[in-house]
Amino acid sequence: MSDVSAAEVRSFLLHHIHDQVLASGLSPQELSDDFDLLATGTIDSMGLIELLSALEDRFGVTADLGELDTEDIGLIGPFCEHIAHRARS
Amino acid sequence: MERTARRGLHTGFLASAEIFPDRPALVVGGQTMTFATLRDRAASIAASAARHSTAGGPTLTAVLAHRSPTAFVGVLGALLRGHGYVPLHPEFPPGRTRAMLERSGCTEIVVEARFVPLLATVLSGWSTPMVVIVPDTDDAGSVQASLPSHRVLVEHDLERAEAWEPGPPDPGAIAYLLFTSGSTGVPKGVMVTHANAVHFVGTAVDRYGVSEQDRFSQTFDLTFDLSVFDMFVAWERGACVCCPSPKSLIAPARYIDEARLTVWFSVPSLAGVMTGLGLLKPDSFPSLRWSLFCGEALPASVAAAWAAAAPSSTVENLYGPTEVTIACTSYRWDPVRSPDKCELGVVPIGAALPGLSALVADESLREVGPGDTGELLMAGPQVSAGYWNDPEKTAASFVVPPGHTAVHYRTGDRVRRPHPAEPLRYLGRLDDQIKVQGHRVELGEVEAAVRDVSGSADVVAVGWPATASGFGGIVAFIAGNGVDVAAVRSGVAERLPRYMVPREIRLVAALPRNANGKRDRKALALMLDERR
Repeated sequence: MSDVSAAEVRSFLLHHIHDQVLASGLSPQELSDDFDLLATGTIDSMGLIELLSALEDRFGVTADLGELDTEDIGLIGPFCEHIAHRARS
Repeated sequence: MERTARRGLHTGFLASAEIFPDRPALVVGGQTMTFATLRDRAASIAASAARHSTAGGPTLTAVLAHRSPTAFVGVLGALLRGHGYVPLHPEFPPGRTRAMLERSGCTEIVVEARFVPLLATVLSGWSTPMVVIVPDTDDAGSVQASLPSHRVLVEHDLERAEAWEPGPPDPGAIAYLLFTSGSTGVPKGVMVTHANAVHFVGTAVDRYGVSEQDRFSQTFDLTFDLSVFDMFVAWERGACVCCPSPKSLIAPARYIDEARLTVWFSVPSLAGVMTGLGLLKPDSFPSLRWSLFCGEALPASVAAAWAAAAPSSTVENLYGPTEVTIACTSYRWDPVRSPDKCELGVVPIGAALPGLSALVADESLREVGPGDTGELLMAGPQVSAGYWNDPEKTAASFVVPPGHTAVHYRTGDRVRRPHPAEPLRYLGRLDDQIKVQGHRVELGEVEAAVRDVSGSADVVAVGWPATASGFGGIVAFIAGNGVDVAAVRSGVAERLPRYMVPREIRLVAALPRNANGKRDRKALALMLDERR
């Protein structure tokens, strides 16, 4: 598996959802690790599927959201950590 | 008939509150409420509303709440009051909620404290004083300040009403009034009576052998009629209704396990999303007895994956428009035999539920031959009372076909009439209605909003991307240039619920037409597919 850092995942993720973030009146740089993409309506469940598919294309990593705490799904920090962790293992 | 003659939608709940007062009726937001608590809180709303009522309005009470104790207490309070309930969605744009409230004519509303500011916006400049009940706050001052011209009742104003008895239910009265997307841009209110709903609930408790040991999922918002199943089929026999958090709804695997659910009921899209997220694994849900899906086409792949994930459960595909009360046909999935029965990769919708009948007819409403396709019409005691204050639309959709005496509802769904012993198969729509992740959407309503906001006459909306069970969202096309697309999108978002707002609005030089000169939605969808 490739060695991917959470920061790289984060950078890719923010690029991928750039338009949706702007549409919510926010700046991608401002988003903290506990920003919740789902609860804020920045992306919906279809958007999450698209994001996972894009991450798989880019990093060759399949997410397993079942490993995350349910309430952490959609939080930028834990989500990026999860992808990076999956890439390492 | 005896069962429906004297019962209201809430009659079974009240009986369960007598038999199982201390059993859990509801788990929501980490809080468990017993049947006795739920009954007492609903009765106190009913009694207080009755005492403060200014009379004159219709026998309807609105409920503006979402996945909270107040939502369920509000629904029951309205019914115990002898009213039908009108659910409103806090995420809908205020203008749309106001239109629904205006059309319903409600003069009483139960609202969750966190949505009081929203209600103040909705009721801005409202001429008729309303009775506004906010059972989850004691801060009368701030609520009254937000709603100065209305009669506000907060928690401490509600009288204790353990002994309060609801009047005898009127089977022909409205149990709930639900607004659905309308093709001309105005939502339609479907009037479902107590007799309609009681018939369905009776069928369901028998069919699924519901007992007080059962624990039901609650995945549907109150504005979706399938939520009536969650609440009233469970409560009819003393079972518990369990509301997952919004996050748990995206990834419910852990919730199903931790809440020890025995009955799962959702739109297929939810299961489709779980498949897409890799969360539907074999043997994930050993506690489930029943896995029920309704609201849109059930892909065979989703049925098979879910059956493997919940091996002790029986998977059923239910079908039914709001106008025929929750569900009117059903098909039981058999992992061995069913795959061969599927058409277009979609699970059959089966056969009419007991007491109902299905007719597959051509344009003149005459039955087509076995194996042929036509529109599905449904008749029986679940056919609702039509559209609220809209005799024209009611007459167009609720008809007596030639050679019949019963009123049939024209579903607008294209199906294949089965050969004997074969199931009905759903093939698609006859009009421009689509399902977006289970939500019913008239593309005409989306187009009307885009036309209004953009000032452009030439607008087409298409469902896109296609998913196995419907569509993931909507894309709108406007012919012309110089339109501020971002402004149009935000203008549309002020009028339509989020699931109806186009994910994207594209400007094109001209809109494609098909051979008949009609706007060609297929060509536009193909264009979007190719871009991918």
